[in-house]
Amino acid sequence: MKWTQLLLWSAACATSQLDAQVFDPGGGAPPPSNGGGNTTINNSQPKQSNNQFLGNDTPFMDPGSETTTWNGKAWNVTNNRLFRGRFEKYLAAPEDAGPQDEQYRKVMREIISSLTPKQGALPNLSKAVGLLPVAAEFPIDARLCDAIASAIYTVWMVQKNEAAMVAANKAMEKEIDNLAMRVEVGSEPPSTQTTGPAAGGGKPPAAGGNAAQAKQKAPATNTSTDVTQFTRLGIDMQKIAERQALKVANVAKFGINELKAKVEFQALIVQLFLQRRFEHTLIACRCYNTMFSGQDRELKVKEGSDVEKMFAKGLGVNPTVSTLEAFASEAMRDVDEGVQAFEYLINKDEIQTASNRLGEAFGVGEYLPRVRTLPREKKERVLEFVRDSNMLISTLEVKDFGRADELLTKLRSKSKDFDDSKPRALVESSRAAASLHIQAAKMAALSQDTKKVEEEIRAAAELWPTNPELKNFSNDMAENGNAQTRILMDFESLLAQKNYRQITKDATKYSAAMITRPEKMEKLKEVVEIVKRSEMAVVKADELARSDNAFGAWESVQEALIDQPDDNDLNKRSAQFSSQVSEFVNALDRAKRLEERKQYGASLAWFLKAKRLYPASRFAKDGITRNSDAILPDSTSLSSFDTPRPTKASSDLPLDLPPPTSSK
Amino acid sequence: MARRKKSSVSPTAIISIIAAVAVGAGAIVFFKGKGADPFDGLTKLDAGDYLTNPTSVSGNSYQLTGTVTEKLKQTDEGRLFSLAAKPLNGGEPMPVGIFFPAKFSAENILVGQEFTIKIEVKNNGLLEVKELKRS
Repeated sequence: MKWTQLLLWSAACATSQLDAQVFDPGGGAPPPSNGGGNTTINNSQPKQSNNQFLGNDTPFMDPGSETTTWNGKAWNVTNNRLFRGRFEKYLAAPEDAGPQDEQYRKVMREIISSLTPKQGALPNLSKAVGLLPVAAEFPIDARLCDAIASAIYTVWMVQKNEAAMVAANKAMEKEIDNLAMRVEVGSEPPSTQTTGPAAGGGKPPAAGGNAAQAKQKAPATNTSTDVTQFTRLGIDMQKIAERQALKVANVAKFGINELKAKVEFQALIVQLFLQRRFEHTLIACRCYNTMFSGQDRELKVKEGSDVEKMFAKGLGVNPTVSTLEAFASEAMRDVDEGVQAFEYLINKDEIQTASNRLGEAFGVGEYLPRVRTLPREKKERVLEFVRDSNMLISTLEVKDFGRADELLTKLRSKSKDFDDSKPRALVESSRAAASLHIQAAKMAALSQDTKKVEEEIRAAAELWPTNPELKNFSNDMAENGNAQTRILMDFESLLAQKNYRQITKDATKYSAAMITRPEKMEKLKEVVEIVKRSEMAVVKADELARSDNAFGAWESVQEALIDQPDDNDLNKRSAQFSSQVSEFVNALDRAKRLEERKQYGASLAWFLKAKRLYPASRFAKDGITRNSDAILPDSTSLSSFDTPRPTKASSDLPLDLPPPTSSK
Repeated sequence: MARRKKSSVSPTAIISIIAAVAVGAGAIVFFKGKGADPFDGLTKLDAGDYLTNPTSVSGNSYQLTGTVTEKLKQTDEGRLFSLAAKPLNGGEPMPVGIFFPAKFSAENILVGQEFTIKIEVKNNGLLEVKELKRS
């Protein structure tokens, strides 16, 4: 009976919301956040303006999507935060197995039994009404039995008024007859004067009132005239009309009161039904049937309203009190079956299915004895599973797929019937997509495409915000940034120290750190080139030294020292070769100093001396050329030197030549 | 016939005349040679001093003898040569730069030629030729 169950679910959800006071059906304020429960969907239905009870603000169940629509909102009946919370609370609570609970259930059973028509015995309404206040004393009843008793009393008051009204109408009918008779007598010709009591055998009027008083006043006018006779007749006629109208008004008033009592009682029944108080619904329905036996039992719901649709769409007929009674009975039976199924499944360790059946039974019959008395130890077996399931839902909602994966594994190990295929597929597909985005981000980072990195990271974060790969990538980026800064600082420091050889040694590291700094890269290339020239100079010097050309070796080293004055290898060789060509070094040194003092003639002489010592000396040749030009500045030089390379300024020469250690 | 009487010049007169002519010619030669030599009285330049402390000799004129070893530069102002100067106390020649101003442009100066030169040490230490004499 699918429709019945969905109908009951609608009722369950509606009362859940009402009990939890989450929504303000009448208010226009936006609904509060449900704390991560993404099961609330704002559909685009127009806002309901009719807030009357049994109007358009009652929940409506959509069997296709298993959602309940209420006040413009759609709720998934099996997955919302309030239901999950209530279900967990129920699972953790002890069963209602105390003596007080047992006594309450006994009273309720007795009430229902006394109202049940049996063969040869009519429903005992008086007994049931007498037990209702007893049941209302128990806290679990929430004084609903009192509400039923009150409604019954109201009906009884209406029915008592009905008896009084019937008696009054009978009296009025008699008076009307008397008045009619008097009118008839009064309308005869005045042959005989009527001076005694009114015709009728001297009997007093059947009923008091204005008519009787009028009759008593009549004898006082012994000298009546025709006019007065006609006036009295008119008054009597008027009184008859008044009595007739009053009688009709009494009947109408009774009808209205009766209808009002019926509607109020029906409203109570529907309210109990929607609150899933099915025992109370059953009691109220049977009381109603007893009090209004033989009368119309159709529910007075607004035509076209959600409640009317809820009942009429499934059944195809207008809802009646008996319909609600049947639904209540069906719900109780369905809950019984659900709990039985739960007990069977839990014994087979099929935790997921068992928890689903118990959840359904709880959703429909939260207050039914079968649900309330379920032993705690049985409920505890599914409590952890339900908690983990709820957590799984939450983790999937926030896309925490790492935690979701752990929970899936745990749930799978706990329940052999747990179907993890759908959530697993979601987790794996999201993970894979997020990983692809991160890989793309890494590739973009290598190619220095910052915009692409940003896009890919954003896409990855949207798919899986808590992805550890994402965190690692961010950390790597930050660490790389720090490392890059550190390396660049090292480079600047070595550059300031002119420690070019160390820079060249770690050129690969610096090159990697300078991908985004082309100006630094250029500097690095210059340094590497200098070091390369230095190394070539060292090789050349060693080669010249091996061929006993200490002068050439020394000059080769000095040329390299111009770019790298602090290079250890060069300085070491410079010292070594200086001792071998000290006179030559001394000549160049003096020449340089004299040149700096603008003593070009003497400087020229020292350069000439150096050249005499080492005719192939480039330093000497350059010095001679410079000084010659200084002496004869015109450009008509007929120098015997061929100058294959630009001459160096004297300041480019090593300023502090090592002192000659010995003369050659 | 009569013997003619021979003319007679006194031998003393002849000797006196010859002696006077010889003395006069010698005096002419002596005085003429003594006044034209420009190097007379010039101090010879000590190349070692010059190289060590050129400012101490700047503004002075010296005599220097050496061999041209290389032509360094030539402009309208003159020519610059390298000269291997003979040290005063012997030893290896010291190469110095010698500037021949344009007034010596008519002189053929070739590498290997030896000259005795009157030089002036300029303020920048340059040795400028004032007079020269081929050796």
